[in-house]
Amino acid sequence: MYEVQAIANNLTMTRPRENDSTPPVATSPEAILVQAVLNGDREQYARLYDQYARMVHGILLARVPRDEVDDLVQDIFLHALKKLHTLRDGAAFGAWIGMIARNRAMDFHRRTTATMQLEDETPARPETGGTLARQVLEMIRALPDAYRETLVLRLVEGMTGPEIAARTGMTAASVRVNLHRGMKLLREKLGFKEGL
Amino acid sequence: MSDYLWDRSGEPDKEIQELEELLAPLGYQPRPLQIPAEVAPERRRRLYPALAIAATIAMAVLALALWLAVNHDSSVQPSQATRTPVQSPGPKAVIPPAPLPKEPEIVATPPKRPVNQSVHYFPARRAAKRGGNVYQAPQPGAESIAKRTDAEEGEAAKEQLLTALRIVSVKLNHAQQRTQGGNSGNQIRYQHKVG
Repeated sequence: MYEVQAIANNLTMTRPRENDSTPPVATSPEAILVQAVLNGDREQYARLYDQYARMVHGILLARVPRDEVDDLVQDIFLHALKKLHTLRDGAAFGAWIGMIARNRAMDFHRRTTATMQLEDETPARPETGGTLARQVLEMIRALPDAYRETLVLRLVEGMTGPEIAARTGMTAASVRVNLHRGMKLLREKLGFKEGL
Repeated sequence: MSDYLWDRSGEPDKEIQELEELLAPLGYQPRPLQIPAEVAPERRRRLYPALAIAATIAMAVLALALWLAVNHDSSVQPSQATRTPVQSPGPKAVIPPAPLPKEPEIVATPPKRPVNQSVHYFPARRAAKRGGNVYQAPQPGAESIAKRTDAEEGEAAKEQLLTALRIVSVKLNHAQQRTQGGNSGNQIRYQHKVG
């Protein structure tokens, strides 16, 4: 039951609501910052960027080539600034911009399909120092969506489980399940034994 | 279950530590956000709900006008009109409705055109235009035809009115949903479409 609830929350990417009649909390730091930006204080947006850029970077890194990630992060935050008026609950900024990042990653793959095919035909480059890290990252990327994103945020971006839950809007239970299942799969791929 | 994987508490997991060290260079390197001067949050568009309400009111007025027109036409039945003494406008003497003359003068004649072409048949109005205060005895055939055609028209008008009322109802519901701002529970799910 616990896992079913966690998976359902994970699929819908929403937090469980204890009571539908309670209004969204308007006093969360994100809501205050969002309201300030909407009122014309652009500097507050830099604070939102500082808080959420790492999460957006991780979400993108789990899906698109690393060379493209930095530019995409900037694009996503600029796009989000333009569309900030469509965000009804400022406290949900993290979940909202995370969803924008996922959609942008999908758009990136749609647009660059032809380019990727051409790159595949070019001869392989000589190995560099970061090859092992990239190989491990590729293994993580080969995992199912929910696991790879959580693992990248934890192992690459250095965020803790509670931090991932708070930033992405997922429940702590979902994040915990994703972390442990994803880690188990990764260990199998890397050839580690469970518990070592 | 390792707590280190969850929140880095407890005894460190060697494998996880190695992975963290290996993958850390691929992580986010802080970089300031450069916001061009022309990029600013757009304003909320409040025009659409106002337009929806205006359209709803217009539809309601249209439906009311249609209903009044239909109601007015159906209130003047040929059978009633032929048996009511028609009063001519002006200061002429008013003729009491009763008693009726024994041998009424027949003024209106049934139309000679085909039955299906008879759309509006108001013999009393024609007689009133001529200025006569007469009692009109309609032909039995003409009366039944006029009744039938009016009944068909009435049915058609009723259906039109019902359709218009349904449209107005749907528009009102839509406008109400728009003005109430929708269900807040689905906002996160719908907001992903922005990206």
